Amino acid sequence: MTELLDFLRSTGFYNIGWDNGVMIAVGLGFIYLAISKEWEPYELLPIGLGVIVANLPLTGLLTEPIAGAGYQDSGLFGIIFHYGLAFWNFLPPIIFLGLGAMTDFSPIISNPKTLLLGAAAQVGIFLAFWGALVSGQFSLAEASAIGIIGGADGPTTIFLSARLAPDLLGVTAVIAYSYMAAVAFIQPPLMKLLTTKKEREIEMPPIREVSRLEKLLFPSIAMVLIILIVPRSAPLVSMFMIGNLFRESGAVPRLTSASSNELLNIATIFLMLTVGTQLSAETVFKVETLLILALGLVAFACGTIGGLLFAKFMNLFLKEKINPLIGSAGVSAVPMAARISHHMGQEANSRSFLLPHAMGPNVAGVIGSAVVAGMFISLVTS
Amino acid sequence: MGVDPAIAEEAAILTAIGIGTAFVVLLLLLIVILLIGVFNRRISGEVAPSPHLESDPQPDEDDADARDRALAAALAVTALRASQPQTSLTTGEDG
Repeated sequence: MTELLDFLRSTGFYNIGWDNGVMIAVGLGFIYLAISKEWEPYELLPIGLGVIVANLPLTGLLTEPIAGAGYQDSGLFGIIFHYGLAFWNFLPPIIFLGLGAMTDFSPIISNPKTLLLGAAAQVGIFLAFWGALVSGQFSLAEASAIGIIGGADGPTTIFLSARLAPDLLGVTAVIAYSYMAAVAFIQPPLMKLLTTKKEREIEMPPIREVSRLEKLLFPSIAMVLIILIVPRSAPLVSMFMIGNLFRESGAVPRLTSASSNELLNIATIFLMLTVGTQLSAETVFKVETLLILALGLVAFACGTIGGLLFAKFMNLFLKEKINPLIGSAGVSAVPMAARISHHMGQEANSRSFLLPHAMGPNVAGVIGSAVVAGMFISLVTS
Repeated sequence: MGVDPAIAEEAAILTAIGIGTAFVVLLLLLIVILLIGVFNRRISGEVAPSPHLESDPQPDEDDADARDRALAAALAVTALRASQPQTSLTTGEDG
């Protein structure tokens, strides 16, 4: 009888708490959004599954390997988290390799002034960073990890959080991806509020054809230049540019395909499942989580505003005006933010075709947020 | 609520360096693109042969032959495209 009672006490049913139940419901919610609403399905589905697994008690899946202790006691997701993120942090750069192999720099090369919109949209990062500091709840390192949510770039958020604030990793990553999924609700009201109908109607000429030489030279020179200025951004920037050079060289189609398909998909599976497992009940049910949720929204909104206003500012000096709607694409969230700029432009003027123009600030935002992440890692100690 | 003055000072420096670095890096990339454009125009300008520089022994006959070949190729491509389903512009994954 004692053995039976011991067995019953060792089951998950006996040990599960109400907070685990709530988190499992949250995981199911993510899965619902991914399948039914198609909100970032490649991210939210594995994250939701990870949340459910992480909140089942006594699995030991999250036990990280600790030197000196029994390595055999380490859990599957503890090992992936430890080596893939906290210790070596190699999963986000692999994602960047795949993204680079899928990126076309033609919009930036044909209209380079849109690069500046990507820089302006980084203002959201610093407003959220200050908001986190002023709240008095977070250290400088944690505030940096919260601020980078405003970069609207999932792998960059994960890369920086894993380095500076591993305890916040699950929360910052999920909030970043959730807001990226909700960008279609966050950005349009701000875009309408801050632009006039006349501005939204501005037509931009088609982008010029970019030569192969330009497509090969740009990522090569940009990689060297950025890494020389911000060496700590190298893991993200180098992989992004290497992936792009695979693509543009045309000489290694198998490597391009492997980077943008198999490798990207494998890294996404491990990264997103592990991020989900970081959302256990004890890490989420805190006042700080709600605060990060609010600060993430502030960061996204301010990044959007920064891009829009800077585009309007640029128009004061430009002979050939740009449509300020493409400024909001500077927050990254590739390619959703660019699509929203395009749709808003078409809503105002059916002849307007902003998608290629908006991809410029969109990709510049990816580079800008990787640069800011590198700067944070250089100057902030966790 | 409130920030320690020492932390506030450090955060202010980080903000200035961060925004400054993002703008400087992207501004430098803008300059790089402009220089690459100039370089590209020079290279292509030097490489592209001028059609009127060399004399052609039988210009009329060859021109007519080339026009016929181009017309045939254009018609073949048009027919091929018309027989295939239209492809759509795809975009990348999110990042």
